Amino acid sequence: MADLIKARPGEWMGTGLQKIKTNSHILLRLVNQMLNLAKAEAGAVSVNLVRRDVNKYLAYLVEQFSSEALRRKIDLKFTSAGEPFEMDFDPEKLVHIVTNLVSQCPEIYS
Amino acid sequence: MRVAGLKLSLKPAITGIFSRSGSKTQVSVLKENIWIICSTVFYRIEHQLSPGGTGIGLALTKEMVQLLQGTISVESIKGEGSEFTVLLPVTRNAPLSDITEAADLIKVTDDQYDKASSYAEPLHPLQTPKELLTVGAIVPG
Repeated sequence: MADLIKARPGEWMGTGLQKIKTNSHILLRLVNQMLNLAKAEAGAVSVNLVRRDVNKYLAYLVEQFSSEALRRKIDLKFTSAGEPFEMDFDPEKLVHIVTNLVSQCPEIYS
Repeated sequence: MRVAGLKLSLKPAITGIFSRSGSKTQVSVLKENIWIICSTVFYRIEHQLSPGGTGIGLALTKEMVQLLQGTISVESIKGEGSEFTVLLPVTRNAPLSDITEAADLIKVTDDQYDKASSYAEPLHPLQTPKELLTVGAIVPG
């Protein structure tokens, strides 16, 4: 790609740079994931529990994805009994879990 | 036009034993769990589904769930959807947090959002597998 931009900058400068950036991000994400996986497997990740209403927290987390879901044309809903449910949970780990579950919904090409 | 549906639900569950003494029924709680169920529904299956990610995100999720002493399972029906079920044990031993707003538990700044989403499969429009395929198709000339 870099060679292509060098050879024909007029044609490739715009899209080419964007593609390099995008792929660098994908690579960085992958490296981070592998790093975190290695950390988790080595037992180097600690659990930090707080006692709170998990219902409210999950609703908040799902809310963070609403614009993302709208853009990806995904009908995102969160349902629960609605009553406060107090328990111990690790806010950060729950973010990862929910982020991943939501991201499992595949893109659909139309 | 909405093409897919995603439902995340939370269900508390109690495993216990019933015992009867005289006219009274007693329930002794053996185990309290919480279910986080994430269901995907495909409304328009005639469209081609994008290729999946690397699966690292899911492997990491499994590690996280195990770290919290929970379990994760998945059930899929081709063309209809899949259901991920995360089961987490309920304990109430941690100190009560004096933070009242959910948003304050984790500050979702841009930086942290990037960090959090780095655990997931592509979320960003430019980081979809579609884009990956496009890049792979270019032959330097």
